[in-house]
Amino acid sequence: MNNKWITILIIIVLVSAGGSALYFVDRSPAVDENIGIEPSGTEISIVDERGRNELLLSNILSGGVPKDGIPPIDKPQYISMKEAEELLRQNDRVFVVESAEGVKIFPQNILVWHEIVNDVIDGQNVSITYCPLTGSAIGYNCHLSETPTTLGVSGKLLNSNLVMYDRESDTYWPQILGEGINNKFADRVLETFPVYWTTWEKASQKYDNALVLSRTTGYIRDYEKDPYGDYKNPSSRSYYSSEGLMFPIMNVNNELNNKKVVVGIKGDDGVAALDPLYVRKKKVVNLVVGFDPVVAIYDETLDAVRVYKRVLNGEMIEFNMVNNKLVDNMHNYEWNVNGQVVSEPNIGQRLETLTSFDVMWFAWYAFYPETELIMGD
Amino acid sequence: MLRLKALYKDKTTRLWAIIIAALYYVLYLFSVGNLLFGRTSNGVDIVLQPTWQSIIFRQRVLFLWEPFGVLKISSVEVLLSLNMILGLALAFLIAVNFAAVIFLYRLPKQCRIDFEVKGIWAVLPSFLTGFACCVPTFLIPFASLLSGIAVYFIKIRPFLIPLAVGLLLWSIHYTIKKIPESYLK
Repeated sequence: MNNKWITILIIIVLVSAGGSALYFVDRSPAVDENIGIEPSGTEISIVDERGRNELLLSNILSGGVPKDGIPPIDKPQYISMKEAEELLRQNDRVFVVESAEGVKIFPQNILVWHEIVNDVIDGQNVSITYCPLTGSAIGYNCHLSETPTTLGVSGKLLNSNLVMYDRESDTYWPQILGEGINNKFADRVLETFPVYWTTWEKASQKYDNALVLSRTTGYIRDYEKDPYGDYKNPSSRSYYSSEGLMFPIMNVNNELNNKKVVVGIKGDDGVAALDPLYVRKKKVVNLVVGFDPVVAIYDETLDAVRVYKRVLNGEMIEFNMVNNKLVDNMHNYEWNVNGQVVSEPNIGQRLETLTSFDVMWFAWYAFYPETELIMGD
Repeated sequence: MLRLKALYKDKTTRLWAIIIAALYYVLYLFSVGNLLFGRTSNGVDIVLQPTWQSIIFRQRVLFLWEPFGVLKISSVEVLLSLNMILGLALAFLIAVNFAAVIFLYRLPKQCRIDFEVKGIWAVLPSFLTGFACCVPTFLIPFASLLSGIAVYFIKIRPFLIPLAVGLLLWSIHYTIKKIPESYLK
C-alpha cells in the first residue's frame, strides 16, 4: 500500500515537473544567457564596443508570459461615442489617434490587457502600442517591406519596456526604441505617429464622431480593472505611483522620481525629456533637440503636449503666445495646436511632426542616458 | 484506500472537508482572476465567446488558461476556463488533507499519535500561481521593496503547481497512515 502511494506520487511529480520544464525550455529567451544584466547604477552607452544590438539583446528578460500570452487585438471593433459613454467614466484615461479618416479613441483599461492593437488607418497597417510598466503609448506604421505586417507581444521586456515582434520576420522591436535589434530588420526604424494621452471627459468634449475601441476584443478580461494600479486615483499606492521597479534596467538616474511622466522627444541627432507641466505652464516652449529646432505646444483641450519641428520652408521659426494666440516670429502667422497655419494667406500649411510620447522618466533614461532633461524654470 | 473510505464515511469530517474545499475553490478562482465581484449584470446568464473552441485550450501562462465564457450570477461573474477543473482537482486534494487532519483531531486523545498539521501548508504554492498577469501582480504593491525579485519569481512559477500537487499528495499519504487500524472497520 505504502509503496503504491509513493510510486503514484513520484510519477505525478515527475510528469508535472517534466511538463513544466519543457514549457520553460520552449519559452526561454532567445538571447545569450551568459551575458548578464549590467549592475543597476552603471551608466551604459547604447553604442557599446560589443555592439548596441548585442548589448540590448543581452539585457532582455522574460516578462513571464509566452509570445502573445498577452494577446494583441488583431481585429479591432469600434463603437460610437454614445455607446462608449456607458462604459467609460469621465476620468478614465484614453489614447487618441487623429488621422485623415477620423479620430479613434483607445481606452487605457482595454490596452492594459492587450498592449497592441493592429489596425488599418488611412489605408496603412498600423499598431497602437502601450506598455503599462513604462507608461508609454506610441503609434507605429507597420510597412516594413512590400507586404505589410503586424506586431505582436514577444513576452519579453527590456528596461521594463514591452518588446514587440513583427510577424513577418520575428524581429524584436523594443517599444520605446522603435528600432529592430535582431533578425531581418535589425537597425530598421519604425515610422511613428502621435498617440495622445488624455481623459475620456476631455476626448468626448473635443470630438463629436470619434470611434472608440470596443470591449469585444475576442478575449475575456476584467476591463473594469487595471492590474497595475489606478490612474484615476493618483494617491492610491500602486505601481504607477510608487518608486519601485519590477525589473532591472540598464541605466539608472535619480534626478527625478522614477515614475515621473516626461515627454520623450527624438530628434534626428539627439533626444530630450521635457516636463509636460512646464509646457502646460508656458503654453509653448521653443527648444533645440540635437540640431533640430523643436516646438512643444500645450493642447488645453486634451491636456496633452504636441511636438513639432519648428521649420517652415527651410527656415527656423520661433513661436510665442500673443493674446492667447499661437504666433510665429518670422511671418506673424497664427497657428493651431495641430501645427497648422490658420491665418491668411497660408492657411493649412503645417509643421512636421516629431516622434514624441509620454513616458516614465526611468524608462526613457534607461534607453537614452545621453538625454537632455528640460524641466523649465 | 480503506483510510480514505474511513474519512468519507465520517459525516462531520466530510462536512468540514466540503466547506474547506469550497472556500479554497472560491479563493483559487479569485486568485487567478476568474471570479469578479461588483458587476452590473442582473439575473443568471451564460455568455460564450464566439471563438470559444479555438481559445479553450490556449494558455496565457503555464497553468492559466484563456477564459472562453462568462457565467453571470447577479453582481458576480465567473470566467469559464480550464482553471475551473484544475481548481477542482486542487480543492479535492486539499479537502482530503483537511479531512485527514480533522479525523485525527477528533479521535480520542490517546489515539492521536504524533498529531501534526504541517501538511496543510502544501496549499500555499497553488495560490502563488494564480496571481499572475504579465508580471506576478501580487508583487506589484510591494514593488518598491522587492525590486528585481519578479525576475526570479517568473523562473520558479512554472513549477509551483506541480510542487503544490506533490506536497499535497505527500501530505495526504503522511497524514492518513496515522489513522489507527482499529478505525478502518
